[in-house]
Amino acid sequence: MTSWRFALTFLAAIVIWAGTAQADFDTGWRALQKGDFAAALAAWRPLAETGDARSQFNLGTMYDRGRGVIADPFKAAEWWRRAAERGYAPAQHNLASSLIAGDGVARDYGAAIEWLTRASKQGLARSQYKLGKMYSFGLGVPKDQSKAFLWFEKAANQGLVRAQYNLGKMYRDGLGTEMDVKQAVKWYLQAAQKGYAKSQASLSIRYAEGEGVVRDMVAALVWASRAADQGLDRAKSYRRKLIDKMDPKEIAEAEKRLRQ
Amino acid sequence: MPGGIPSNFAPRRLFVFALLGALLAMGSGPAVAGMGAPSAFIRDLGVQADSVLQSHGRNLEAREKAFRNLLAAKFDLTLIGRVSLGRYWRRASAVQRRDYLSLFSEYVLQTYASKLGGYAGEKLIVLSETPLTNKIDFYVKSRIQRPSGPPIKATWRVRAGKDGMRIIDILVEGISMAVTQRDQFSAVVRRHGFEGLLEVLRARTDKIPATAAAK
Repeated sequence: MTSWRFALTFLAAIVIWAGTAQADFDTGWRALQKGDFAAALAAWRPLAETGDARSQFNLGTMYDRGRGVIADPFKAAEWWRRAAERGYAPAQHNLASSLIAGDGVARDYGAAIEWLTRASKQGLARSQYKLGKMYSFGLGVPKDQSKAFLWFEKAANQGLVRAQYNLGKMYRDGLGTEMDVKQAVKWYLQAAQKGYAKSQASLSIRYAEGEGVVRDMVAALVWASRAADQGLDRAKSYRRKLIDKMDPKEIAEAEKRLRQ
Repeated sequence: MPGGIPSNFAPRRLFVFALLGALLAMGSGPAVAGMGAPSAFIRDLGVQADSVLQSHGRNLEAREKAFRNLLAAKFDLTLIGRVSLGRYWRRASAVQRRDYLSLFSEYVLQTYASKLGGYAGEKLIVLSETPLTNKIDFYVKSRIQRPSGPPIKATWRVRAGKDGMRIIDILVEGISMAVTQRDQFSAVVRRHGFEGLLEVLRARTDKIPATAAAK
């Protein structure tokens, strides 16, 4: 009976502590939104020191960006390492970024790959994309386009536009997979519809050349214009080339679609 | 590929403090007699920055976005980026230059915009405005008084181009932001090549910000 009472008391204490910790975390989060960095730090630091991975991660971001403290990449990397070792995926990602940039730690692509792989296996799309890039360029690992393709695909399926664009390029060029221009267009379109300028420019070329899609000069001009309007230089020059080739009726139709 | 890369050292911190302090303070700073268009331009920037920072109704992300847009409009990031690359600009291919400028702009905007708020209380005093011999650039000298710590001398280099005024450099205690950045970037390029610099900038701009997500 005594042991039951002890167990229940212990359990109640844990529940109360967890509730208090959550309240303290939320206090820090609200302070951050207001720009009161000192209050955010004051709320998160005790939690971080008692092992709360999310607070450790956020403390790392405060040191990385110099919010409420003097920017210190060493302390940022250290807090991220502590959270990463507890399995917190965003911290694993940021620690990998520090290892790639050599911010606060010695540059180490091999260690970065390990952390990115751990975060990717937890489903973090940004890490999956970055890992794809590392395999694509052969940074810290032997160059492997098949593995790059697989990681891009996972990130693309989660809706990450950069990954969708890169997947489109890999299908277009037959890198890490069979060449498939229809698949290329499919992925370019997904990213383009979300406003990703590079994808819009690539989609424009596909429409103008009739690659993987029925040739449509009006659609080509529409997508080139959308990319150009975001400041993409190569889209600006491509738009000029398209306009030179097109008749006024087609150009007017493209302008009409852009206004819709 | 082991070996550290210099980063986030003291001069850069000073630039960040100076920029933010100045932007926060300029909206309420006193007008100075004899100041021309460059001072008016800086003053207007200060008013707009103050307006963004006073928008307490929006969340941090929204304020940062507004601040980024403001900085992007007032700074000539292409020119600052070119100067920051020094002699390596000429050696870079067109594709490398394009990638670099895109990453550099993102890096600078992210660095400054992420320090929104929390620096209230600084006061900027405009000291003088001096045209340079090229007749298109001006130095707007200022002193930033802080609630804690000694005052900082900050000088804004403003260029009057055909598209209007743009900030092309900030000198803190006489040290140029562009030159400091160039020294850092040159060290990276010497050790790791141009692609290595791009990789560093990619990594720095790809870090995940503070989050409330449990996983």
